[in-house]
Amino acid sequence: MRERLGADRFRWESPVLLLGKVALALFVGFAMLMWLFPILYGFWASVHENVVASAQFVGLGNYADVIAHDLFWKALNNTVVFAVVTTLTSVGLGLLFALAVNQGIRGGSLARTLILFPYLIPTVVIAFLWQFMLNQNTGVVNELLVGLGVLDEGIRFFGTTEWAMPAVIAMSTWVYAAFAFFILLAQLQSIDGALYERATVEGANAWEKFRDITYPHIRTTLLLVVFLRGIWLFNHFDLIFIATRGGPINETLTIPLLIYRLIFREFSYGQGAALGSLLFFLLAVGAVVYFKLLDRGEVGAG
Amino acid sequence: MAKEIRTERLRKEYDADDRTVVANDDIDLTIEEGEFTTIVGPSGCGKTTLLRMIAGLQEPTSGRLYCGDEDVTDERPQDRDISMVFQNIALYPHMTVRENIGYALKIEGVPDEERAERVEEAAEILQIADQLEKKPDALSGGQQQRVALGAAFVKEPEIILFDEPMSDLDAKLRAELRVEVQQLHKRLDATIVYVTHDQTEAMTMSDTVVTLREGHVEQVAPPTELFDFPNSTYVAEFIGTPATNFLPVDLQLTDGTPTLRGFGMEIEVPSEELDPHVGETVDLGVRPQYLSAGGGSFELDVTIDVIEPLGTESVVHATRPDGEPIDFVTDDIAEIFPGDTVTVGFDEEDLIVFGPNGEAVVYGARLFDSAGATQQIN
Amino acid sequence: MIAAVADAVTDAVPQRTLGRVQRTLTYLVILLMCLLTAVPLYVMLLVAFQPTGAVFSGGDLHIIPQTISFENFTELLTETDALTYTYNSIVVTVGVMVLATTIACISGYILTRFEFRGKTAFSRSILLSYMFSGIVLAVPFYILFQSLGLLNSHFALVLGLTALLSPLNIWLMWQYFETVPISLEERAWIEGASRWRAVRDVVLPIARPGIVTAAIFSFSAGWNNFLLAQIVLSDSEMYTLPVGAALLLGRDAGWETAMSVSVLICIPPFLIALFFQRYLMLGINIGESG
Repeated sequence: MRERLGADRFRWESPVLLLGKVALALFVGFAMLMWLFPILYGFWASVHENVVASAQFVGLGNYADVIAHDLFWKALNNTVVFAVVTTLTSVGLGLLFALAVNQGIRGGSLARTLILFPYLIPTVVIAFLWQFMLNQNTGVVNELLVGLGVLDEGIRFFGTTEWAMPAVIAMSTWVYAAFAFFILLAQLQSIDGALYERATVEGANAWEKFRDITYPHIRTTLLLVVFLRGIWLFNHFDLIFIATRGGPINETLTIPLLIYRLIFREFSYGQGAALGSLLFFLLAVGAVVYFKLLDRGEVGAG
Repeated sequence: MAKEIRTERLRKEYDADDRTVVANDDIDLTIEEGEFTTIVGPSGCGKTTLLRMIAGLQEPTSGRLYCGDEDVTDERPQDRDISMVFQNIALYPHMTVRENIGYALKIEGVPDEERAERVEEAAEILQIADQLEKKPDALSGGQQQRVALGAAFVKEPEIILFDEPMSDLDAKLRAELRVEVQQLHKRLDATIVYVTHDQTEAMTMSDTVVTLREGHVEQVAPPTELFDFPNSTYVAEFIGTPATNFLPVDLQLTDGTPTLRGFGMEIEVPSEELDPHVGETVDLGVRPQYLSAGGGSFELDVTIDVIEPLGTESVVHATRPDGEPIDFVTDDIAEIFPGDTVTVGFDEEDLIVFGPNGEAVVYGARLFDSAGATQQIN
Repeated sequence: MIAAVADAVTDAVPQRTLGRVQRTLTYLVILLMCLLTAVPLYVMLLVAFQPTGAVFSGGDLHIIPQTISFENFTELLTETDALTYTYNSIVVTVGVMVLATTIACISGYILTRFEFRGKTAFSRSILLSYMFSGIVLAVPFYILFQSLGLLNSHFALVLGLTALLSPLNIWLMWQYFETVPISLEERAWIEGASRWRAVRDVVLPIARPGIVTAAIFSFSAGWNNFLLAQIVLSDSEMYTLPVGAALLLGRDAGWETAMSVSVLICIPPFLIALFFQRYLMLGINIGESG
């Protein structure tokens, strides 16, 4: 370990360096134990059977079992639908809101404070709240739709196979739009106002300003938000688990919920770990492809 | 008490990727106690590294560093009695001006009352007494600079180091602060080392100028001497604006006397120093200030390109017969216009002959010393 | 109404002159945004302050409440373990805040000011750990805590949450310390301050917004976490609020109870949203910039 001041080693700073080294060692130890160990253990378990009692090496057997599992393809399909659609809706809505608030009109700061609340509410509460909102009999949404004459009678959103996934996506969007909103708003605010003034002088309309000034400025951030949110949603568990437990009839069962089922219902940690590792590899490959495409796009655009 | 600073074969190497970069190459240098010394050179010449080693912020690879009689090479910056004004000013943004100036005293354990007194006195001198309760953010660039100065001298250190402190300020403020810093130096009993890439600062403020080149000390001299007797083309080019003109001429013997031939001129330079270079091409250096449009003992025709009036005098950029640029300074531009061809001239005591390796071989002012004392400095 | 508001604020739009259509659209979007976020929250409050059983007694829910009742809350506090859960949640949350923020500060400072082998690998592994499913990690945690004899303890939950949270927090503090110019520290050393004193007097005060943000992230993790708490804690006496609340709801408690528990859980995050918005935005941005 070296001091970063011009990459020097300070003889007379050695007590400090020693302290630094001790802190680093402690930290690395903690990270290894609490952070690296679970991941490595997960990989290890994915190629073993009967992990907890007397582990036996089974190679890729768990992976084969998992892929052959009745629900694997359904779960994968659900996960992709959930993650992709929620990413698009939440980032899209976040961008729309950010653009509106960035116009600097009154009411914007109220909206900015309000949108923070859904983001901070514990998952459990969100699930309660939306179960109530979308309830067939007492739900505000159904009441509104029936009242407006759109529906004759209320829908059990979380309870019907065709509506469960849209309901879960709507609920997730409600929460995660705030995330994209704040990041994109900050990015928008960093754009030099003089650019817009110049564009106005040069006769650009609103769309042209967005296309030629706003979008290029937020592009990198936008793509990064999409990436991070996307990955995160692929691994997302709490909200769906509490709201629907994967039902009805596995209609909202995603891979993380299937992992949970494998581990805690079918008591096969090996298969659960294999599925988790599989998801990890898929995401890693996805990440590499995503960034490769981005790089190419960058070159093409530049 | 001001202290002398002395370096003994002070060396600093960096590991950059897979090679070693020598920032300071065995520097032997004595900075006199109580003097205002400027270390000047283009960026990358190692001047900041040298300063930071004096401060104790960087550790020398080898060599020793002395303050007075004491070897401080291995001392921590905390234990050296120094102050430093940083390039980015380095004011603590969360402290008021008062706290910023008084921080060193607070650490020293100076009692509150005395501290307040000394801070206020410093603020008075620097004309920022009414800014004491503000945060640095609320001050102008010049005021921030004054706070940094105040913080540096309030603890009355033996040595004050400046690391290009004015590089971000505009020209007018720089000129103002140059005076301020010099007045401070007169008031204080401290050795000042001032690092800059701006030769104007070096020339106007210092008692001694150290010119650094790629980690070596090129020349140590007072400003006037540096201007009139640069020991290399490097110094002649770097010190003084516009830069010295160099005319490549042939050195031949005429009746046993070394003679410079070129541009239609024939200049006899009776110096034995030139003997080893006979038959070679050497550089004839003439400062733009010593080239006059009225002519002189030696003359050449140049074509005017651009005239920059600077008030009492003007800098004229021209092209000489071989197509290279040449500059001269004149106080009378009424008669000359871009496109004109004019005759410029100089006298033998204004010339400097540089050898093929860039080293100064003969100074006209010393060789023909009749008029050597009347030169002016920009 | 929108037009009236729009007229009232025309002079609040300094340089950007908006077209009439664009301005109307902007107001509509902001109105939509406010409604979308506020209505569910309002519904939650509304139901929580209704008498028990009101929701089922025939859709008596009015937009402006006819009665306000604290019945649900008194019931919650007297007849359930909500107070215990709250206490547990506070213990865990404070623990995570202290531990995770301290670790983030120390590691962030080391990452900023020192070079060491594996620094790049370390920073990349942060992204990598982000891609690993939390549920798969829960079991190794379970095994780890079991072998350490820490199961069913708040300490284990604090450790686990800190571990899950540390990558993000360390990244945040690292980025934040990078913005503190090293020359400020150098100036402090030259002025006689020791390394530790320079950190205390100069670095930490300047990095305060970053530290507050890390603390808020830690708070959020400690207060909101459901999964790890459910796995680590087996005894209902030890449950934190989210786990306890899920348990309550599982017992077919009425909507009023559910909503009043929700309100209870939401108080601290809402206070943070109100008072620390600036820090949160900062944290979200730095957390993303990597």
